[in-house]
This record gives sequence, C-alpha cells and structure tokens, in this order.
Amino acid sequence: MRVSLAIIACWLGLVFGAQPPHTDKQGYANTGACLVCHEEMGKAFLKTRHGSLENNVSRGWKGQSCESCHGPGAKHGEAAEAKFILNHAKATPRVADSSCLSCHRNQATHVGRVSGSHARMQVACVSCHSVHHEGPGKSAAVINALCSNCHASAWAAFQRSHAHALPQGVMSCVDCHNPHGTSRSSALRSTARTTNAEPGCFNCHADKRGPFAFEHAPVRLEGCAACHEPHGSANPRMLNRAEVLNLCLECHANAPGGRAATLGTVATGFHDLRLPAYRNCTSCHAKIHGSHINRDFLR
Amino acid sequence: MNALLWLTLWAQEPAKGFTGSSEIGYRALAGQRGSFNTYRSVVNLGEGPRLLQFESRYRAPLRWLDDLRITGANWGDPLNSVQVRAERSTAYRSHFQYRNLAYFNALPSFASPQLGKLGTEAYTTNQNSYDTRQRFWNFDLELLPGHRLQPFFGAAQNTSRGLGVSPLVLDENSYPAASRVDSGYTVFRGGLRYELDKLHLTLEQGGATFSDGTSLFNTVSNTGNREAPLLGRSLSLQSANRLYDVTGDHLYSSVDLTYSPVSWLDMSAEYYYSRPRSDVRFNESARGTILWLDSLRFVNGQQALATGYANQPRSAGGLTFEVRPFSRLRIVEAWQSERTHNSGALSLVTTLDARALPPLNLEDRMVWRQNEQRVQAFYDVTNRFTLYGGHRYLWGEAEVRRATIAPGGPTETGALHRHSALGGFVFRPTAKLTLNGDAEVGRGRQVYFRTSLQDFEQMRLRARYQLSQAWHLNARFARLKNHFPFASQNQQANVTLQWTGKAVSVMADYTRSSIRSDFTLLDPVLYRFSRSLYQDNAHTGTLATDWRLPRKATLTLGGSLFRSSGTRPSRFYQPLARLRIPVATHASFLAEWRQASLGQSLYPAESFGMHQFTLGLRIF
Repeated sequence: MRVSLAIIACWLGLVFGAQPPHTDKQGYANTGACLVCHEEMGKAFLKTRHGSLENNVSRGWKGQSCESCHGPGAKHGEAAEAKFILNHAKATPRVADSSCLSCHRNQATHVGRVSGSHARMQVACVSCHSVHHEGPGKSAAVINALCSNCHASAWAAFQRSHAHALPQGVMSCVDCHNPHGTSRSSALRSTARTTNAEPGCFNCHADKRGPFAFEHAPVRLEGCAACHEPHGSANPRMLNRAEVLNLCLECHANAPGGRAATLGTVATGFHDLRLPAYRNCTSCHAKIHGSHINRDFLR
Repeated sequence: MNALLWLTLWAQEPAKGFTGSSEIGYRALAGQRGSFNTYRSVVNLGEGPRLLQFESRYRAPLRWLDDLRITGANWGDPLNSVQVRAERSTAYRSHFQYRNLAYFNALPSFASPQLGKLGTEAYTTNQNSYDTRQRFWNFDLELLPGHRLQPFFGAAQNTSRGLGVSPLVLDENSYPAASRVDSGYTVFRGGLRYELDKLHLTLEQGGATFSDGTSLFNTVSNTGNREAPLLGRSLSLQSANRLYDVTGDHLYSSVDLTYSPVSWLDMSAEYYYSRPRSDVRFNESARGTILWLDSLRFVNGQQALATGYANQPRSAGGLTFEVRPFSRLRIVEAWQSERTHNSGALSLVTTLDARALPPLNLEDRMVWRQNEQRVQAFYDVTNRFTLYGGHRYLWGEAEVRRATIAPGGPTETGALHRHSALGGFVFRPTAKLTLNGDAEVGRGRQVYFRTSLQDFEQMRLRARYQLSQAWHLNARFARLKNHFPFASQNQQANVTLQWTGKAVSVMADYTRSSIRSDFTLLDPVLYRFSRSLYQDNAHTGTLATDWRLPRKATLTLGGSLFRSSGTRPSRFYQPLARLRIPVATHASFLAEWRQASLGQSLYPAESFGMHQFTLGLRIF
C-alpha cells in the first residue's frame, strides 16, 4: 500500500510538478548586494517566514531571497535605478500578484481565488500582506483594522447596537470570510462546510446545524442571510428587520401567489396580527431554525 | 565582499529571545441609567481587574520550537480570547484558539407577547432569552510546512451552556418557562496536502459528534399568555417538564485541487460530501388546565414521548477555470453544484389524563439541488483600465413539505431559474487614484420565496484617492434593489478620510444606509389587504484622532455614533477618550473613558446609558 502511494506521489510529481527549479540565474545578484542599500528592510525581511528562503535549497532561492519576489536585480544594482526592479507597491496588481502566485498559486487557500471578489477587483496580495516586515501578529483587532480600511461600511454596521463581537476584539472578519476568495455562493457559504478554510455560520452556531426532522426551508435554500444581518442590526437577534413580524410576514403574507413564489410557505392562520401576542412570531415558534418534534417549529 | 556583509548582518540579527507586552487595568462602571439588562445584552463589560490584552513571542532555535506566539484579549471580561501559535519552521506549524463569550440576551421587544401592556411585569420579560456561556476552541497542526507532502490534523469544539427563558406552547396557550441550555459540537479532522509547483491536492476526512440536551421546566402556577377564557375556562399550567436528548454524528470528506498545467491556464476543483444524522428522544409532561384541541376537551395532565431521527446526506462540488489566451484577456468559468436530501421521521405517543392516544407517526423530507454557472471575461484595455463582463445562471429545484392549507400531496416542488448579467471596471488613472465598480442585473423565471432575488439590480462603486502622503480618501456606494417578487431596497454610501500629521492623525468615517421594504399582506382575521412598509434610515459616524503629546504621551479621542429613523428609531453612541503616558522605559500608564448609550423612542424601557472608566498599566 505504501509502495503504491509512493509510486503515485512520484508520478504526480513528475507529471504535474515538473517545473524545473529556478536554475536560470542570469541577471541575478544576491541578497548581500541588495542589503548594501536596503539594509533596514533586509534585516526585517530575514525575520519573516519568507526570509527562510535565504537558506532553503529545495525552493531554489538560496542566497537570493530578495530576488525570489523582485526578480533579477543585478542591473538594478549597477544602475541604481528603480525601473530595473519589480516594485510590488507600484506595479499593477496583476503584475505584482503574478510574482506572489508563482509560488503561492497552488495552495489550499487559493482554491476559490479566481472566483473571489478580491481577484476580480484586482486587490493585490500586498494590499493586505506585509512581506518585508513581521506583522504585529494576527490578533483579531489587527485583522479587523486591516479589513475595515476598505470595507468601512461593513465596519459601520458593527457600530449598531446588536452585532457580532468584532469591535470588542474577540472575533475577526476572517472567522467568517475567506479573504482569498471562495467559489461558493453566499447561501452555500453560510451553511456548507466545517473546515477552517471555508468557515460557515454553523462553525459557531452548531445547535442550528441540524439535521432536523422538520427543516425550515429558507435556512437551507437561501442561507442564514435570508433572515439575519450578521454585521449588525437593530434587532436583538441580528435580523434583517428590526421587528420579527416584519421579517416573517414578508414570506408568510397570506397573499395570493400569482407569479410570486411561495414554496412551502404556511399562511399565518387566523392570528390576529393586531394583538401583541402575535406580533412576535418567535414567542411561540421558538424552534424556527428547525425542529426535531414539531412541524410548526413550536417545540 | 557581499558575503561578508551578509554574514555581518546575520550575526547582528536580534530576532531571538522573548518579547512581549501586556496591559492590565481596573474597570469601573458609573452613571448607570435605564435598563441594565439591555446593557448586558448589548455591551456586557463588567467592572473589576482585567487583563486587557497581552502579546508575547519567544523565538529561539530550540529542537522542537523556534517561534511561539501567545496573544489574548479581555481576560476578566465576559468576552475573552487567547491564541497560541507555535512552530518549528521546517517541522510543524500549530495554532490553538480559545474564545469564551457570555451570551446574554433578554430584550422584551424581541419576544414578549405582553409587550403592549406597559407597567406590567410581563412587559419586562423576554420569553425567548438567554444567559449562557459559549466556549469555542480549535487546534490545527500542519506537519512539514513548505514541503511537498504536508499532513495536517485539527480538532474543534464549541459548547453552549446556561439558563434562559423559552416558550412552552401547549395547544392554545404558551407559557414562559425556565430553560437549561446544554449543547455541544466536537469535530476532529485530518488529511494530507500535496503541493507541487503546478498542482495542489488536499484530501480531508473529518468526523463530528453533537448533542443538545436543552430542557424546559415550570414549577409554579402559570396562566400563560392567553388571558381570555377559552370555551368557558381559563387555561393554566401547574407544572411542566420538557426534555430533549438530541445526539448525532457527522462524517465528511473533502477534496480540493488546484492545477496550472500551462502558464495560461489555472484550474481549481472541490468536492465535499457529508452525511450528518441526528437521533432525538423527547419527553414532555405537563399538569394544569389544558385544552386538547383535536377533541375539544380539557385535560389535567398530558405527557408526550417521542423518538425520531433525521438524515441529511449532502454533496457539493465545483470546478473553476481561468484561461488567459492573450496577455490582456482573462476568462473565468465556474460551475458549482449541490445536492442535499433531508429525511426525518418521528414517532409520538401522547397520554391525556393517563389515557394513551394512538401513536402518531410523522415523516418529513426535503430535497434540493442547486447549480450555478458563471462566466466572466476581463479585458485590460490599457495597463490602467480593465473592463469585465459576464453571465451567471443559477438554477435548481427543491421539494419541500406542502403548506398545510394548500391542496395536493404531502410535498410540493419549486424551481429556481435566474439569469444575471455581470459587469464592472477597474480604473487606475494614477498610482494614487483607484476607481472600481461592479454591477449585476438579474432576471428570473422562477424563485423559491417571495423574498428571493428574482428581478433585481445591484451595483457597487468604490474610489480610493491618496491626496498626499498625509491625506487619504475612500468612498463607496452600494445598492441592491429587488423589484419582483418582492419590492425591497438596500443602500449604503460611505466616505472615509484619513489624515496623518506630525502631531495629530485623524480617521473619520461616515456611512449613510437605508433599508426599505414595501409589500401587501392579507389580514387573516379581517380578510382585507393591508400594506406593510418597513424603513430604516441610518447615519453612522466613527472618529479616531490620535494626538502625540510631549514626553511621548498620546491622547486618543473619538468613538462612534449611530442614529436611525424609520420603523424602529434608535441611537447608539459610544464616545471614547484614552490617554497613554510613558512612566518608565518599558511601561506606560493608561487612562480610558468610554460611554455606551442606547436610546429607542418606541421602547424607552430598553434604553440605557453607562460610563466605563479604566485605569491601567502597559508593560512592554
């Protein structure tokens, strides 16, 4: 069995990984040459994970870790001109990313990259990742500050009275979102997986995961966001509408269907909606995410 | 010469050893007004000594460890967390995370059937409230990072335990009852990652167990929410117990693949299969005056015993190609597909006044298939201007239990067919200015629900401009408008200004957002159509100003302000002032004032205000 696996691995390596190591070193200087001018940056870089390339033989950049990203630097060193070296901060995102992706393209985090909105909007890797410096740690507060630089309106929603605990620094944006991109639609994303690469709402709200004998169809067909606004809401349970009644009646309106879709939608019966008792649907329909016992989600 | 320089720099490398910082302090609360329950439901920070945050790092060339990082926040508070990252760069990389969140939610406006009766005790009771602890931890271990073959393992657990209030519904009345929440989910996973220059493959297998032992109990005389007599008698409950015993397991397998066979083609594929199953045992007993509606008779005692199960096999897969036939053109084609089948069965035995009714056997099923196909083409008109356009087709079908009053068989089938046109641009006229926008216009033949997107438009516009080294400006506008089957609109406009001066830096942000939904409903009692209009118009502002004072002291002033009008007007202010004064080479004094203030004109009893004062010391 082990021999078979080893043969398969070797075959895969030969067929799919047959890219030669970076042997064409024409025009390259070495890290020492870079550090003559970029001493401070180089010292910081060598403390980072990428700095380990400096001594890594198998990756093919031993002694040339700076040029592994910036390209051949001999001409840049001789002429001391910026135009002869790749500067990721000034290059177009596509050029900058192609440099990063030459190593990171085939990794687990990039399964949904090409479908993700960051790739679509040409948000370069270096917009979020600091390559030259060891960042201040991946604490939740640091991640949130980084994301909210661009997603300010999402951060504004967290300033509402009922929101997930991001402002308190206990949760971070990447607890729910995969910034490298995902190929799943939002409905699938919120309910689908269990792995850390593709977190879903059920990762934390496991009691809503089910399966239930009696499912509330929108939870599965439309995802959690059909009813909830996870970034922040005026409702204590982060519903899309401030009042429960407003939300539930949007589907359970009793109105004739016509072209409007009403898949499995149960009418509100003879509840007198003017009475307070019937204005908070979840007062009775407490198991609204799904019930093991009752078709009407009453228990 | 260069080698010599390199060696000199390497020798000077000061990366090894212990570094860290921690912030300890004491928080006091003052000036409380309004509802403390609301304060706990919204802010939930208490007073006393706190370890506000800590961060430490140890780097040393030990045999089993060369980098250890520990970070944490809010220890002593009801919301706290810690993360530990340990690695030996050539051998392993591990990550442990723990979170402990107190979940307190007891706002009567959410679920109080007595809400209209101001002044009554019932008004202050949320009949669906929680005072629980949610604890999460996860551990991930990757072996041989950076190598071709990387085995990985992981485990995670989350639990929720505590007390609460839940409605106990018995036929024609509902009774608020005490509840004990006790649920947990534990998952173990492992797999192998194979990374080559042109190919990556991840195989993962995992399994989970879960349990939910939530129970409800009532030991006092309880008249419930129905006050009017029914058939001449008042309903009441003397005692009740409801016990759930839900256990389950969940096995899953997943495969992720990325492959770049040639320089102009990237592929990725994913497949996921899971088969969760739940088993439930249920026991409910109640004594009181209970109306058994099926036979229109009153009983004094009722007991229900049920056993059941639910299965939900699910498979999902996707395939994505990115093709770059020319240097300026990029085409992305993606398919996604999901198949799920939920089936459940329940056997229920009810005993009324010691007389057993015939067993009730119920079955339910729900099947859905959903597919998505998306193609997008990106064309670089110039180096600074990219246009893209595409098409998305979403289709599927679902079979669910038929609405109870609808005629026909036990289930009904719905279909989903929706086409969308996609478009957008990215424009960088200068290195300091970026504009981008995207839009989607969808028209569907069929959707599942009235609130689904069928005929809709959504668009987003963003601009980033660096006026100078000191000034940055961001602006964003987003709008989603659904015309049919249900008229709703969601819109946000946002502008952010950052200014970094020598003595002061300022970050100011303003967001205007609005939600509007407008629909017609049929009043089930008066049998007439009426209009439901929901509106939420909100202004949100955040401000952070950092003032660099003499002797390296810093003063931070700012906070956030939220104000909304519409169906449920509210305002939520959180101003902040923080002063840091260095008192020694590795220590600084911290003084902080925050205020949290919530006001709601429709629910004044749920408003609150609270000042938080914190004095502390930061050691680094």
